[in-house]
Amino acid sequence: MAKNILKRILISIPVLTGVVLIIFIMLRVVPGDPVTTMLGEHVNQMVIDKISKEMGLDKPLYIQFFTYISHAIRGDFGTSYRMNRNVTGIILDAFPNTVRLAVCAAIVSWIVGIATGIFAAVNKNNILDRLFMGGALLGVSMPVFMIALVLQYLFAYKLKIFPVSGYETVTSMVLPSIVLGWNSAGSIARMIRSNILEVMQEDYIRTARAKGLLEFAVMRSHALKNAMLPVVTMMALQISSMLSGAVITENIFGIPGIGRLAVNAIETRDMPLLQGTVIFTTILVILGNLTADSLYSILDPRIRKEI
Amino acid sequence: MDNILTIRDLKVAFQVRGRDAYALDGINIDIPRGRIVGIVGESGCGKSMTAMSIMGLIKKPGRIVAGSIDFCGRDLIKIGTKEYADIRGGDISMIFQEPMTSLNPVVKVGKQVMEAIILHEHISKPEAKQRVIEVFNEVGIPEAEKRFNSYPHELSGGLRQRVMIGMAMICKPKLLIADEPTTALDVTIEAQILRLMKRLCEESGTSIIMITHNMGVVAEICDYVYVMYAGRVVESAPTKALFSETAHPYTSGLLKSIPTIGKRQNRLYTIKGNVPNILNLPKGCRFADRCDFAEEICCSDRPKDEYITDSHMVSCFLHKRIEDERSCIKIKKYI
Amino acid sequence: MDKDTGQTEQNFSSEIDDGIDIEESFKEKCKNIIKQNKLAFFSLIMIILIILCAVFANVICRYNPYTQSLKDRLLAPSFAHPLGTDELGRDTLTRIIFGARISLTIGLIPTLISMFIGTILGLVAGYFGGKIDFIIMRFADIMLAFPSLLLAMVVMYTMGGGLINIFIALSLVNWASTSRVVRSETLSLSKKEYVEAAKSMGVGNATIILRHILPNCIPTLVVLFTLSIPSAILSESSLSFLGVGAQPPTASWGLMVVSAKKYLFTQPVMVLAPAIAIMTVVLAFNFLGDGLRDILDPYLKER
Repeated sequence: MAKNILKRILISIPVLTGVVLIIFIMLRVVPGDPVTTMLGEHVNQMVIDKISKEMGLDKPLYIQFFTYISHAIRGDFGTSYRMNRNVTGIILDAFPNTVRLAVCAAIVSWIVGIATGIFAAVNKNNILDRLFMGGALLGVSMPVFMIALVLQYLFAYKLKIFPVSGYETVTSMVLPSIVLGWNSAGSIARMIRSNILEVMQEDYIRTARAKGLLEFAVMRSHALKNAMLPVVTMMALQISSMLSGAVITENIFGIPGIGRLAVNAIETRDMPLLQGTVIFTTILVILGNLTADSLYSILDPRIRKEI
Repeated sequence: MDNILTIRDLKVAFQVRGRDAYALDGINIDIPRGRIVGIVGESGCGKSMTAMSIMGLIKKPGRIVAGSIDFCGRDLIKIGTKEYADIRGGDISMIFQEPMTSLNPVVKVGKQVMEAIILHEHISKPEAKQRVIEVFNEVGIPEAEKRFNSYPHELSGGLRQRVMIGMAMICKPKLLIADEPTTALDVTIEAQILRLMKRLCEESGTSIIMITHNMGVVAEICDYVYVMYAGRVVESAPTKALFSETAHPYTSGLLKSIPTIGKRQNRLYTIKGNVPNILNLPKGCRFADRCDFAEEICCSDRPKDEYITDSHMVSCFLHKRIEDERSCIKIKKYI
Repeated sequence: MDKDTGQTEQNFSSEIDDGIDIEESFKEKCKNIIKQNKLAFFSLIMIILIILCAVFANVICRYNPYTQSLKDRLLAPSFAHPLGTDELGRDTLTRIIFGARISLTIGLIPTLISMFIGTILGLVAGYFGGKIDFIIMRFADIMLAFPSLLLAMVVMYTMGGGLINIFIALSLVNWASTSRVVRSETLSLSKKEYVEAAKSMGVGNATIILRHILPNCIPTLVVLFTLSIPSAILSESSLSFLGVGAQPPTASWGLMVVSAKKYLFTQPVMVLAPAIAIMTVVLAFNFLGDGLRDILDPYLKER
């Protein structure tokens, strides 16, 4: 098993390099000179050239790329144009806020998603199932910003239970967590339900019933484990969509996390910062995928042995 | 006779587009204590449905519409869910056709067997584990202790079926239903498994319902045979009588389609046509359109169950005619 | 949502259907399918209606979505303006109807492009295997490693806002998942006997792919397509919401939400109307996709 995980880690190295390369190229083909963008239009050409040289922007692209990579490996993603600070430092400052938001959201979505999914599966095809699954589909179909605005309107403005924005107190994290967890709760619920229903058709469920287990025990000790396996993978894979959602959630609720940084970087055309945030989040996603694969192979005995 | 299970006039229907389609249409079956009873027929004739009715595990949209299943003085159709669950796996257990898919792939086999005994005999885990290992030894699983911790995919088909038998036998059931237990296995394993089942039942006095389409299996281990066709029992007799005094054309067709060793045959006999659709059953005898001897009455009226001898029942207008035919077919003792 | 009983019943009735006249049973089958997937059918009608609205927006609407009128600013819903007006005096309903054009094109065109790219790459990777497969799949891995919204944001940053650039961004982002699905389908299909047979007879690779593999992928692709449309629509609205998608004064639903955000507490209908519009379209496509999957599922399993 360790060998397989190692293999996966090795495969993610070229993937990561590819990610950096793509982002690097994409941001370099931006029309306009980065230094001009940084300093504004009315700056002496001499100054521009000097700064370009300092930043290594006069060198060929591939040299710039390798310089960037070699710095990045040492944890240096360059210096932000606007904030005049090390990008790594900025990201690490923002990171805990995003993590806190994402973890809270994940907990919300798992609890709500798993409970809803099981409940719907148990009540298969009756009115409760329909109601819950309709709710789940609504969860999947609602744009994140819409959930955010509706909840803000209801709970912050009308009922005044939670603050409109902010991130310091526990109560201020409630709305953002629900908003961010909403979509994945929907998809987890849908997946759990359909997995359970599929598993319940399996022969070994018939065996369990023939053994004399009551329906509840059949569900608990035979159906759930099998139905949850793919969901575990999905939860880790949701890191990607969580981060996408975090971009919007953080902007609406004014949480200074990574998503906020990315949008700021775009608004202020701060190329190193944007580059850094995208690469950083991508590393998170790749790590998430790795965890998903490893977890699956630990949990599923069929795969465990093959490895 | 001392019957452990008596099924009377059992009807199971599926509602399809508002109409009831009968998968079982009034069957009567008696299972004597400590005997092996075979149920044979083509696929789709209601064999497995009979088994699932006894287990109380008929899947929706199917349901039992009429009849009684009397097991040791209790009508299984009328008892509650919990009581039924106590009987399942305890007094009545079942072995399924597909050992590959009948075990949960993510639970250790030992644990799966243990579950049954803990449930029914309320013993402690270490005790249960000991019993499971004993049973594994009994059903011929080598290195029983090690196998306790194996996952199903690590075992061969034969071993898995032995695990299933162990699971079914661990609570010493009064009745064991085996639904084509050897169909998915190699022929060499098949004989071993059958012998094992027979031995275990003789030791513990368990009755077996052996569901199969293989007349060879019937000849080898069954004491009594029910032949089913399109949701009805068409003939039932002690095994010997069924083979030597075949009364129903369907049974004789089944027997004729067995290849016999050492006899020159140009072509193996096949029964023409297919099992009729249960939504579109013929008015008269259900076998009429496939029967070589069918007469007018066969297409218009439904034959009644007739007893030729005390223990030999047939449901056919023409069984007398078949007797002549029978003398032409010499069915050799099979295997 | 009727998937399960629906399916057993379907399987069961298909067994029973054998003896019944085919033509009658086809009609009945259609009826059954609609009956078992009422929601999907209703969604289909809904989608057709929305498409009609979008196509004939010019005919339906009384106002121009771009004409500003300062004296009509921020009107509450009334008979003249059923959903009120926005901060520049433009009729909200009109802008929503015109917005459908944008959302639907965003939903359809980039999805088509990315499905096209993804299908070709997936077919090639799955059929030929080996190095080509490895390269294509690592490339797909790279694309899938980006959080999709961030990647789209970077593309928009590079190329600037605007509809055409959204097309490009979304097409670039979404092909990878299609190619993965198609690849795994192709892998399992190319092990089928009929493909082996065709290979042994010396049929060309292109012919095998086009004649034997692609047609069998189509049900999957149809479902995937239907379910990708809503995610594209959501992405566009998110991009526009963040200010890197459609640019004002375009009547895009996401943009309408963001420009109305300031008025959330005073005039919620301005925010809710376009948001609900997005949700309705997305929901309709999701229902349709779910229904299609249920309908095509038995076929997929039998194949």
